[in-house]
Amino acid sequence: MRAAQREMKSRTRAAAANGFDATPVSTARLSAELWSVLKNEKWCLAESRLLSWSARLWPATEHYNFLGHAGAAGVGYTAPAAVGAALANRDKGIVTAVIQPDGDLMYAPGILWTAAHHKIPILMLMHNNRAYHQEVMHLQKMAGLHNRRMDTARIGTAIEDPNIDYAKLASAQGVWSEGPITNPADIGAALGRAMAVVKRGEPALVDVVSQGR
Amino acid sequence: MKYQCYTCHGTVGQGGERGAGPKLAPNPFPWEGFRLQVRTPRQDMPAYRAAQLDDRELADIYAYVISIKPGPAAASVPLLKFD
Repeated sequence: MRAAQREMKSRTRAAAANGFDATPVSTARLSAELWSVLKNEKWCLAESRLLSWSARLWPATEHYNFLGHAGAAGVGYTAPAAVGAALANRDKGIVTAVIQPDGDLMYAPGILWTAAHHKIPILMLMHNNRAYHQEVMHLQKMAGLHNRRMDTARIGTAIEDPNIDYAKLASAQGVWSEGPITNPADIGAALGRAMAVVKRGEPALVDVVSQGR
Repeated sequence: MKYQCYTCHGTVGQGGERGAGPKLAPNPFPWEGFRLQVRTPRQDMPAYRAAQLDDRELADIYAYVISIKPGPAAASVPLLKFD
């Protein structure tokens, strides 16, 4: 079993290395960068199913490490659930983080104000793929099924033109923020600064322009 | 980019997850296998028929995919050490 697990981890790391330095930033890179700032903390990843890299690679040892997901692909769950988890974790010395999808945040963006107002420390790393991406892929599949053009799937599903500046959205509501980051080499330093904010008891958001999946 | 292959396969063919597509590069299928998969795909991938994406454009896409260089080896990436 141990050998099989090691083999699985090795294959997953090799898969994570694909496109590791790409722009937009790969989702594996997002996960690896976030681990880099969490690994020496008591940590909680408030939503752990939308992107599986963290669950596949991070060594989880405590019941509070991964909190699952909405179930039934519910959109708009992640941000408020993450802030709720951060509130529960606040007095336990657990650092709460979330890889926050952009479309999900747009369902209830006022949660950022809530986090700032109530001084709920949470580290939000945006997975900003500039779309309701699940819909983009679904519409492509439906277009293929019905012999229609595939290249119109971003109509009504893309969140671009204009691109939303999530760093400004956050700072407008009292949340420390940086971004948008497009160069993966810039993520680590930004997360370090964000973590310092979270460690002093406040929310922080780092916006990273990311691959779709 | 025009046919939005990247939405599932990524902009450098690295693949995706949660309903997205597998890795395409580096070391993609041979051309005939690539073409077969695009025209008559397995599983959830939508079919790109010749009326929407002709062989010439598909060949251009394949030329891009085979040009993608391998990324770093995982063992050489400090961020990919999780122990």
